[in-house]
Amino acid sequence: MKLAGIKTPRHLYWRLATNIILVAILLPLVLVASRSFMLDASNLKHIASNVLPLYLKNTSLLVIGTSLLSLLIGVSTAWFVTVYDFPFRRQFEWMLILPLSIPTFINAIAYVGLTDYAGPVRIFLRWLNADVYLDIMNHFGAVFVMSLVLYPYVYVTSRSAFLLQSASLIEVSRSLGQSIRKTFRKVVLPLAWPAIFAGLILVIMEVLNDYGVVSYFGIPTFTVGIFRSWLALGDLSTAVFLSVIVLTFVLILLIMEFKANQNKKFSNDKTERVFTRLKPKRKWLVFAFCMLPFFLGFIVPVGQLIWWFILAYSHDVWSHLLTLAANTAILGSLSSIIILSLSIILAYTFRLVDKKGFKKTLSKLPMLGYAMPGAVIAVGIVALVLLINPNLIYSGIAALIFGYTVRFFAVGYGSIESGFEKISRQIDDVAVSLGSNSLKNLLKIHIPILKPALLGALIMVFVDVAKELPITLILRPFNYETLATNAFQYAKDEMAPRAASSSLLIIFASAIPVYYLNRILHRK
Amino acid sequence: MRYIKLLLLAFTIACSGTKDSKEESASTQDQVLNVYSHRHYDADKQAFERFTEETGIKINLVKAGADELISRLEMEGENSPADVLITVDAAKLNRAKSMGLLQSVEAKTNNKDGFIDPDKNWYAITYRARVIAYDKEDVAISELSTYEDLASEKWKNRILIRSSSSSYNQSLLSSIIYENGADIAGKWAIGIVENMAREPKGGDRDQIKAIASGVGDLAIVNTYYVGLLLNSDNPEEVKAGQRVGIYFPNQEGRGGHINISGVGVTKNAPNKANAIKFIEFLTSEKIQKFYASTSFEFPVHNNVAPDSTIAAWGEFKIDDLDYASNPDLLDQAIKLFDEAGWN
Amino acid sequence: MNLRLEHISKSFENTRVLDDVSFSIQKGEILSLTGESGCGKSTLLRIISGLEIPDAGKIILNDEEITDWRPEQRNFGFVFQNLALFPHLTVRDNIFYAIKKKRQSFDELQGLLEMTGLKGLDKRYPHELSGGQQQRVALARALAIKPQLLILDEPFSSLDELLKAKIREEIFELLRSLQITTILVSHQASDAFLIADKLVVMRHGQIQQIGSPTEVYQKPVSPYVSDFFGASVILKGKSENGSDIQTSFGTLQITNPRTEDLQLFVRPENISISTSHDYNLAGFIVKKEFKGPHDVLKIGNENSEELISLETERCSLDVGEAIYLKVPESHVLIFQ
Repeated sequence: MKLAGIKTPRHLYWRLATNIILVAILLPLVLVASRSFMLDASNLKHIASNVLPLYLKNTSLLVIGTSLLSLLIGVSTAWFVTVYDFPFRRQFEWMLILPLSIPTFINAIAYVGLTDYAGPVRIFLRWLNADVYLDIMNHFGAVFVMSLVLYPYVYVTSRSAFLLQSASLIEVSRSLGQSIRKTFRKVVLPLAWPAIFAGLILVIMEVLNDYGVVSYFGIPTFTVGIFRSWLALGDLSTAVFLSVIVLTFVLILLIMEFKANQNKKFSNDKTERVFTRLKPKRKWLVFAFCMLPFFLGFIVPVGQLIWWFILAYSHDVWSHLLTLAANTAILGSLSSIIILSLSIILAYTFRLVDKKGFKKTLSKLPMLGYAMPGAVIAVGIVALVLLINPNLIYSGIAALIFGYTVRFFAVGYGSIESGFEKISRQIDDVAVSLGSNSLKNLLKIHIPILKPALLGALIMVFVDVAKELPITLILRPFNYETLATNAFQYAKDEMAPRAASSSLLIIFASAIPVYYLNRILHRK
Repeated sequence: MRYIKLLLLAFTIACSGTKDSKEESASTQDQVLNVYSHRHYDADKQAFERFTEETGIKINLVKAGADELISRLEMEGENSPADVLITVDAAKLNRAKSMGLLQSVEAKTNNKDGFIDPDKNWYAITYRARVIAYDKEDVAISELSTYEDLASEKWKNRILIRSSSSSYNQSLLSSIIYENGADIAGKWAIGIVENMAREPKGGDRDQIKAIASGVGDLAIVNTYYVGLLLNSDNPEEVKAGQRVGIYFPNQEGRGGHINISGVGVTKNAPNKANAIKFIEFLTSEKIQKFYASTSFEFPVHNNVAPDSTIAAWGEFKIDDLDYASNPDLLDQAIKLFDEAGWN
Repeated sequence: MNLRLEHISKSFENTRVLDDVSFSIQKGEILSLTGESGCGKSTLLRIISGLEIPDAGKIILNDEEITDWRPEQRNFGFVFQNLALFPHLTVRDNIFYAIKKKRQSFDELQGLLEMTGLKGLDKRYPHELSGGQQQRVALARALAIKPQLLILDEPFSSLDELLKAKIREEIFELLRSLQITTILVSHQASDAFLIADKLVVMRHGQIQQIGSPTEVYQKPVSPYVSDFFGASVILKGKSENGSDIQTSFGTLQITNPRTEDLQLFVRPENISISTSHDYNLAGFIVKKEFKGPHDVLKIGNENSEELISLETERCSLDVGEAIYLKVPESHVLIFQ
């Protein structure tokens, strides 16, 4: 940016604000990444020759497996509730998002608790005298457990893409003699793919970032390697080096997404959607298909947690839990508002300035935080805060919220950016021609139009913050607990039943906004 | 609009909340103790509350993993507000010590021999033993002897143990390296991997439950978790715990491997006097008794006996903590694990 | 091929959109479905094509009931109002969307492209085409499946006026030469007059009139129909003796059985004006509008507020002057 030029560049303040935000968000990442230059060669060599292939293999298996399963569940259920008429279709619209409120790690311990020796399934089998050893602590189990709570990312993005698609495209295809299934394959899927892919990227980043499930299940992935190098070997540089590998992979994905979105063309006319009636037999088949992910991804883990809660509720101190819930709510609301505001500024500047090509990818950079392990981000934040004012960490939740902002920026920014893209640029031109300035435009035109996207982003960030763990553990001020840290404490101590009350509260606190998320998506 | 009002409300609450805590910490500045702890047990919470009651010193607590805390201490340097660091493993304390993050202090304790750092950089609070839990039906006590023996052929497909990411396993292998040298330790790790009944996964409790499921015959576990299992909220877990016997290995030789929880005063502790009071409090007879009775850990106080659940397993000879004095062994152990394919 | 609709009814959430609609269409016939927007013609189209199922009534195709058939089973080509071209497919792939053996039908593609004037555009994407070209792609795509019935829903509404006349001409030419059975939905009478063999006029979900364009134009069954197909002069009247009808402009001698609240309908081209008294109606000029080649006169009277609007050649009379109208009694239709 030329500040000393003869002409002040247009939208100077927007550019300035954007640059500051970009720097603030990227600085912690850069501070951490700069550590990878002080590599310990012997550790690196050890990792490369002994564990790197294993990390690669496991990470790829989990990423591919979870992607496929999430796509299968997310896209097909989204399609069913969009075109077919079957029992409880309206309820499924939001019920299918609910599993999003369950942290992956909690889902994992719930499933292990369900199927291990002391779990209800085995108790029942023993009662039948048909006891079998059920092991879900393996690759398949990890894919299963993660997909069940991550598929809603794909579900939400595909569903909104399906809703945006002109119904007449489907109808014309059918009138040309193509069945619904063929129409889906030939028209709907290719058109919705950019949106589906955006949801898929969120799933992939979550999988790459997961530490809880894979370390519990004994599946060494890159993230396990990152923590092992850092925590066990005390070698942060190698850890950062590994996470840079992961970041590169994510960067490639983001570029792919960017390319896919370039060709995205939504037709704006919304024809009233007609639900296809199904024969009774098929009706219940579709019902069962949609019921399955909801049952396995929500009812089962919540049921297990409730059972544990009944076993251990006498240990709960309700006033304490309420404080934790309040802390979680405050952190969630504050960070989501901040992320939202920054995202709006960023997305709006890029709209005003209309950068092309490489510069446009700049706008994608803050999304990298989502792919970085939270603990690594936390280290970067500590390093940055220490540079500014060490007291920031201990006196309040500012550093914590900063951490969440870096980590979850992608979640808010993604949906706001795509929201902006759907607003016709003519509207801006008209407003300017009427004498409105860019700030007024934003406040009076864009933000009201974007309201659904904004609320959606708000809720997604809130839910993510409520579930977040490593950053909270490291950056929280003294004596500060959230529902997630409390649940984690008991889970880590292998006292899963006592983690039940906090886990249920997290799920409850997230499920309500998630319910509203659907209503926002649905609003016409 | 309603949402926005709600959020604004939340924001105001949050701001006022942070202001309050600031003022609080300012007014009680000379009566605080800032604790970085890896321990996250309800017993600690109660013990800390009693400390505040008795001394009037308020405890500010940050709980996170030992390594996260150590790297935070390192980054904070002279600015660190931390007074004490608590970990659940001596090797971690020694790592902090070797990084120059701790200082030597003189605290009056009645700890057993070997439960204070020779340079008084840290003091042990409690310890747990890494023992063999065996299926009472399938394994005879006479078959069991040492950790080293577990690598022998006869245990093929019978051993259950968690991942090498667990610091307890890292410590165990460090002690084997210390005792037998890296070569033998590496072969031992390979032997254990070959004898595993399943891939290493889950926590210590999961290993015992796997014995109950008949997946393997013996598990290397931490006494603390066995104690928890036997006192679980879930009656089925108690049943699983009762199926196994506890064996303390290497009684003929160096003794059973233990993990200590310990506390050290940080290099730049702003409240050093309070920190010493804190150490003396935690190692005092009544708190040691309290720990022994509530947290299924062994007390370090000379005059305090362990809780009945733990005492039922009998007296045993313990290995000293000399292996932990060299934090490099930990790195070596990790690499041996990796080379053995013990994930 | 013979398509029959029998007593079709459909409601959406307690609103009756179609009420007992019946008509039929024969092979090669071009039927135009017209009516103001919201009259139910779009819903009827969707029912014919299978996108909606009627609440009551039957659709019979060649003596076989197809009411419940899915759209993909019917082989009806449908050109949507918004065209609904697949944005991710080229012109060629759009046209051959539903064709299985693509290689064999190369000639067919060429034929279609030529026929629809799209030659050389087959590799383009829809957004690279002009409105008229998009229109033709949509038509070519519907023709490619060799439909038993072609359904065009407001096919020209997305085109601008200049383009529209040309494209309409071309497409109607093509439809006539192919002798393809067609249902054309339009809210514009001119479309219907240009091409239709049969008109179906709808209002409030009911059929108002079915007939040839001439019939519907000259013998509309209601003021709505008459208004819809061109300018008309409508006068209120009443009769005491069953043969003289009094209007505010004068008396007309028409035999009719009713007495009160009569509406008299005349096409303006049947009315002649004069300044002499021998004409049957009288009034004076209220307003005179210059309309290029001709003038429009608004004629009023002293008895009421009614106005007659007439297109005339250049008129020498001025505002306020008396004028006499001759309305041939044989061209007057009476509605009640």
